[in-house]
Amino acid sequence: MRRATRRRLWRLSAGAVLGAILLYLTIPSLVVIMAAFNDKAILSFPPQNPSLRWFVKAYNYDDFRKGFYNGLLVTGWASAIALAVGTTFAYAIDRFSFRGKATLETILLSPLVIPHFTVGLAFLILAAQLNVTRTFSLVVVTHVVLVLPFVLRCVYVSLKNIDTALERAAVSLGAPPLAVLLRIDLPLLAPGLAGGWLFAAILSFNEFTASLFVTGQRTQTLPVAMYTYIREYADPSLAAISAVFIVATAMILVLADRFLGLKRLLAIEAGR
Amino acid sequence: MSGDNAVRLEAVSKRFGPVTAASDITLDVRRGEFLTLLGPSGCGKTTLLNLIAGFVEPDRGDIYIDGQRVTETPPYQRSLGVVFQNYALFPHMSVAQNVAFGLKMRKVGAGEIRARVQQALDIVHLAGLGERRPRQLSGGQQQRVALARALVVDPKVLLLDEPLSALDKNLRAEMQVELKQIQRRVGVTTVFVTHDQGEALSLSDRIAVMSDGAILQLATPAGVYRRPASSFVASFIGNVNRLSARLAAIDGGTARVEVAAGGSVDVPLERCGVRTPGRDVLLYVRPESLRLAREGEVTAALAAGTVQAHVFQGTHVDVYVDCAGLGLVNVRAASLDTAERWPVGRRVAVQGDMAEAFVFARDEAPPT
Amino acid sequence: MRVQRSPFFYWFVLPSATLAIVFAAAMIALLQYSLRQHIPGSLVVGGFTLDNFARMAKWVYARVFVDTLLLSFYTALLNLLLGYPLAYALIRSRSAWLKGVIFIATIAPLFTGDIVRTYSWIIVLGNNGFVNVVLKELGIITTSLQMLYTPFGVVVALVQYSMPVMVIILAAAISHIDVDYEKAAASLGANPLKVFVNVTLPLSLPGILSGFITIFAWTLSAFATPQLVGGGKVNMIANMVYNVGFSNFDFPFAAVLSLTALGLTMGLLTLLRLSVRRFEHVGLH
Repeated sequence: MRRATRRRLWRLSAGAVLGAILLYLTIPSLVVIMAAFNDKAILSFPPQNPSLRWFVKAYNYDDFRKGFYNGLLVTGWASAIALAVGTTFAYAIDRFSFRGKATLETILLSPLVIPHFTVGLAFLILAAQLNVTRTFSLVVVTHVVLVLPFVLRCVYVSLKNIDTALERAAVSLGAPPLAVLLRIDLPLLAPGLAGGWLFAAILSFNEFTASLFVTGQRTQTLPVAMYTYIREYADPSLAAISAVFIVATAMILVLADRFLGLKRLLAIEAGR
Repeated sequence: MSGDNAVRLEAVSKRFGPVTAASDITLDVRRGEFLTLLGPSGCGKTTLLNLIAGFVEPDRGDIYIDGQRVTETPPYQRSLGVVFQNYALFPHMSVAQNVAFGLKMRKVGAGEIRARVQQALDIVHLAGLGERRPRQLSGGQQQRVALARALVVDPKVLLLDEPLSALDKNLRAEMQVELKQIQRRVGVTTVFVTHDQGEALSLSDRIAVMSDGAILQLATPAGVYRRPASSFVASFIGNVNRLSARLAAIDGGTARVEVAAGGSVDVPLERCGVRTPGRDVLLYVRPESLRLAREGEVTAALAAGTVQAHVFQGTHVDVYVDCAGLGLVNVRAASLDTAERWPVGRRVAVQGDMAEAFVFARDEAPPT
Repeated sequence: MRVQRSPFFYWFVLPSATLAIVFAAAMIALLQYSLRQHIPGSLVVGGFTLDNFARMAKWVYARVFVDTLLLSFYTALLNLLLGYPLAYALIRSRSAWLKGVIFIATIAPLFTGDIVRTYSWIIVLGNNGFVNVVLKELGIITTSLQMLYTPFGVVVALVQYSMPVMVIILAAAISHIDVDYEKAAASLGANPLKVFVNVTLPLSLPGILSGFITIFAWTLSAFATPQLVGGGKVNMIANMVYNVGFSNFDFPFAAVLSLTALGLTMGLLTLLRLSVRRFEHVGLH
């Protein structure tokens, strides 16, 4: 009897602690969504007069639209290039031994630990030295470098999970190397490639710090446009955009978790 | 020169760093035979299979398949069938697609592929399961798909890499019988790799016993069991008692061996690997060559000791007798009331039939 | 076992090699700039000099480094305290529902981007923000609490910002602890608290260490959060680099600051690698 009470008390307090932490983590998102639907520019709780005017305003704001299209352009190229480079490199790491492999690996994985502003500044200076202005290709290259490690990791993990006996089986059945690559490796890698691409696309679309350094007026991406807006205006248009971001991200994550096993990709669950 | 051999390895060597996986191996596999490469893990048997398949290139030596030199031929041009340890069924293809893969690579027409896949699945009793995915099948069924996939391309040689090791015990026995039947029916030359001597003995036409990258003996199952060429083979195949002894004398066609416990026995000279009287030797006796007797009732006892334990095996009982100077001696008793007749603690005499015993020098390190 | 030499070798190495060369060139350009003289009012740099590094010693700049280190330390510590229960529940809870909630709530912010996450905190912590409005309506306070533009506000936002990474690292560590150890301890008479203190906690120590140092190093390079929540009052290294670069156009000195930050990060991560290796040597794996 006493044991049961004590256990219940224990579970209750554990639940309260967890609840408080989760509240702390989620409250910014919840507040932003509330603010986005609030008619007045100044926050009030509970919210009154629900309205969509901030969504309309954000939608019609030129810099946001341009930033969105710029972002799509940069993300499209950056994620595609990162996927191609990451996939070939993951394969090379796993299957070949060659001189300079470790160096190559160190260089391409280092953006994981190099601050984004350092990478941004480095590319800005490189562009200046080469007398290149802040073009889209500069932004794309910067993004490729920053998201590559994530693609690499995703693809590498799925590549490791391919039993090499499958390749040998295919070879023994008469498949030449290209056929093995296309008919065995590629289909088996597909979830890893999709996950890697998704990672790259999300990270690139949202990348802010390095982008602030390497984008110019003409090439600015959505996060940079949003940053500029916050510095100049204080109305909740940004809350509206944020709300869209939050809902879209949550939906993408739920879908990715269902189809790709996000937890496995993030290596949270022991791979078995 | 390799006229009737399906596979010929000629002085083949392969090293992986400091490990010698194959040292100067010459081996002929006869057309249509079931040859087993048997040995403990790390003995080089899988490397030998990989050399034949072409997954590994030899450092030295040559490999012939059907009389043609294939040493540098890539594996996809060797026309072999391989069944892997965990079957290596393509998880993204259906059973039928798996079986069809080799035919597709050979650019066989769609109609013929369908017919041959059907036929192959019939042979392994999986007709009707073609649309399933491999992971929807049981272990035994996956095994059959792997076999069908390897056989459907009409391979010159079928290579089996421990294909039964992933199955549980009962299924393994069943699949052994089936594997043998299918191989007989198809008549394909088969090279089978295993560390399980029971499998090797029951399936093979010939067994090559391997250790440290070398073939120690190549003979029929009965040959390696009854006439092992070395102490390693003797210990690796079947159960055997190794009794400390001394070669007392050689007299015509027999060798007189004195066992440490005091008894002495005559072993046919051709079964004796040592020819110097006075040497310390080990007497190898199979448990089924030994019998128990009441102490004092027999005159020509090998040793005497105390019954320590019975292990009931279903078809027989293994009795362990603690003999002074010899340690535990395993005696196989056929009658199932052995435990009552020879209870634990009873003093007994151990008698033996030495026609099947063999003697090797003591300093030859026994395998572990 | 290696398949015979692949005909695709160059196709597979060339793209990454090219990218690595471009990236290395950028880093070398940065290094080179740090050794160039700044000509005020000009974007063109002068000859080679070591003066830029000497300027680091000035307290105005050094102070920002000290502040950054302190803020990072608090952030990492709070992260650990709040992240561990989440990670533990994420791995060990028997409720799939709770796991799902924790997973989405902690991991999702990682993907919503710096600006969205930081902007949310402005609305929450502002003088007319959520917290102040609610406290006022409850009658707890009458004048607004100043939270925006304070170190407190920055840390609150930074902790939430880096929580996903901490939870991922801790969850990975906890998931590698075999539940049988915990069961064994319980069977030997340890109550849940003792099981946790004597088994789970020590076994997750490598994860704790790795999480702490990773967050510490990560926060060192925070930009958006101090930029917006700190609003110029709370400056971290990245903000200083941005200001030096884009307000003074002193890119050589910005390069020096960047390289120093990089050196600091690398130092910390080396420390991490050494200490984790040490733990693994003790056999905690």
